[in-house]
Amino acid sequence: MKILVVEDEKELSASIVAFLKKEGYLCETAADFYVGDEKAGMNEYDCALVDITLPGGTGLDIVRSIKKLQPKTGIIIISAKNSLDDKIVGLDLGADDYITKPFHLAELNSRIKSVLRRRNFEGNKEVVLGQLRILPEAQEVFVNEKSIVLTKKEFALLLFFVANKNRVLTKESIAEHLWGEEADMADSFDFIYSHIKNLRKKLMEGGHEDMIQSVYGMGYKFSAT
Amino acid sequence: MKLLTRTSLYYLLLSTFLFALGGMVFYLFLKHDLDEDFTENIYLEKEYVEQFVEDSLRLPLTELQTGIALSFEETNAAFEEVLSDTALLMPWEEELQPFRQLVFGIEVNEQWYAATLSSPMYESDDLIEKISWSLAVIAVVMLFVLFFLTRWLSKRMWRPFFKTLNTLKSFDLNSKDVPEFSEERISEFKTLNNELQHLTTRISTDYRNLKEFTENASHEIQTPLAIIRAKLELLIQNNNLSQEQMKLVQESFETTNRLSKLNQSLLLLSKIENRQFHETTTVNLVAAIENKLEQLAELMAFKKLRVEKKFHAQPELLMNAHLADILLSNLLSNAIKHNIEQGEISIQITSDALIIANTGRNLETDPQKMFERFQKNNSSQDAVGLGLAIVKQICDVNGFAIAYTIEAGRHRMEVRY
Repeated sequence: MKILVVEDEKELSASIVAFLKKEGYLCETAADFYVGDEKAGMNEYDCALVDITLPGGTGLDIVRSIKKLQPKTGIIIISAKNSLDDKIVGLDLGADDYITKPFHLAELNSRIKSVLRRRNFEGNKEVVLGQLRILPEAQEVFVNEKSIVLTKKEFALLLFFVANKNRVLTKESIAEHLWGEEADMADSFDFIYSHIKNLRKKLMEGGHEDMIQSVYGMGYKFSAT
Repeated sequence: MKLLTRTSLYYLLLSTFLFALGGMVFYLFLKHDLDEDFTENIYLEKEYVEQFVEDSLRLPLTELQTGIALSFEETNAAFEEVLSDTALLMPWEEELQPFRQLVFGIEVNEQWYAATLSSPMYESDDLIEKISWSLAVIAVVMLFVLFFLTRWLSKRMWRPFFKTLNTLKSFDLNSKDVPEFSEERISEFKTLNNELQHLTTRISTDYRNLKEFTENASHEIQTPLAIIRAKLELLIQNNNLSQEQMKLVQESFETTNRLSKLNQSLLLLSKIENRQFHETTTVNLVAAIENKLEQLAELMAFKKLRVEKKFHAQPELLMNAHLADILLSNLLSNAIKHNIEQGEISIQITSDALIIANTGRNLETDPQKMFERFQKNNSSQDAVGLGLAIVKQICDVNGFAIAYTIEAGRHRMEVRY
């Protein structure tokens, strides 16, 4: 999988690349509009992360040229502006998703996976991991080919865990993933705990081995081989 | 009291006083002059009588042409002449009338006579009275004229001032344009307008710069924060950290998150303040609340909260949809966050107000103070303390009134629109 990161903040770009490399992605970076526009137009990436405010131009123009020259590339817009306008314009142009700074790398990872899934496996949009088989579109989960019933939130949680398997997911990133940025629920961590407890129970009742561990009160980790 | 009323009053008082004083002086002078005239006339008559006696050696006729009465009385010897004012009863009038009398001795053919010259003074009194009256009438007319003249003049002269005042009244710091003060010919008003123009322009610029600074600062902080957070997240993924190191990373991460939330709230606040959410749509309050409640349903169920809904009306609010969402989100999540286990939330919507009441612990601070920035109840350490400030700001820009009261353990938020 090849991913293009168009981001002018070198440190942020480096962190994104470091995180994504562990997922086995091949990453290329561009630090300004010209390089970003050129690379995006010349190569076929699986996904492009495009910052809107760039030296030399707006990321929205890069989105335009990707749509024109490399229509197969999935696009996620990154922006510091929490502005509805940018979001609407970006999605109208054909971007697949939109993420606002500051974001959790795990969240970005999960979004990339979801974009890739939607773009690449046409007709076969399922995620298989060990004993698990997940159908994201249909919101169905099978453990050893036996269907288990999850609530909406539990399902989102499981998908988030699977996308970030073997990584520590902080409580904050889980809260934001489940309720978005605006739901400022400082005391929702207890709530997350109860969700995770339920999810764990349901998976184990379905015959799945216990894979979700708590990490030093900081977050949770879904271990898989 | 209006300035004009006050000046008019002063004018009126001063003019009345001056007229009264002038009239008095005039009266005294006139009276004095007339008095002298009478005395002079009487002495002229006396001279005439003496001349007549010297020339013709007999008494003159008692009828004089000057209207001064003359009478004689025999007497024994010469005596000092006496000038006096007296009142006599005129035969054709009922009342006593004032007279000036001169009694002097005169000798005719070795016989002494007392000659009495009586000059009526009522005519002079009449005159004075008439003059005083006309003077008074003139005074009143003059006062009236003066009064209306000053009013008219003042109104005319102060017109630029009132124009300036109106321009100043229309001055709104939050609106983008600075009021234009007109060019005046009168130097005082010209100076005033120039100074005001200067002042308002500077205030507006400063205010805008300050607001822009807040927004830019918050905006610029976002990226470094994002970097710190990303680096910490990478560090968390490192398997070689000891538990102690992990704890340090965790604390840094949590603090960074708090800073990030704080910054986002500040940015949102300054954006609302700068009225960057100007697109308005009609927001159906009931639908918006139902939508929010659905989003928060799980969280409320988790806390075992009971929700009581009383929707008496279907108000449509004309406001920015995003702000409406934040407003309801903040109000409702507050009602959940600061609630107790198995507590209650009651939501009431009428045609002019939204009331959200919830059970909860008592506040340690004054409820109204909670709208101030960074005010929070001590028990909730995690909160940033900007949620209600944002609520207040949204209410302010939309012209809503918000009140926070606590009655019998119930926190009551009332938004009037």
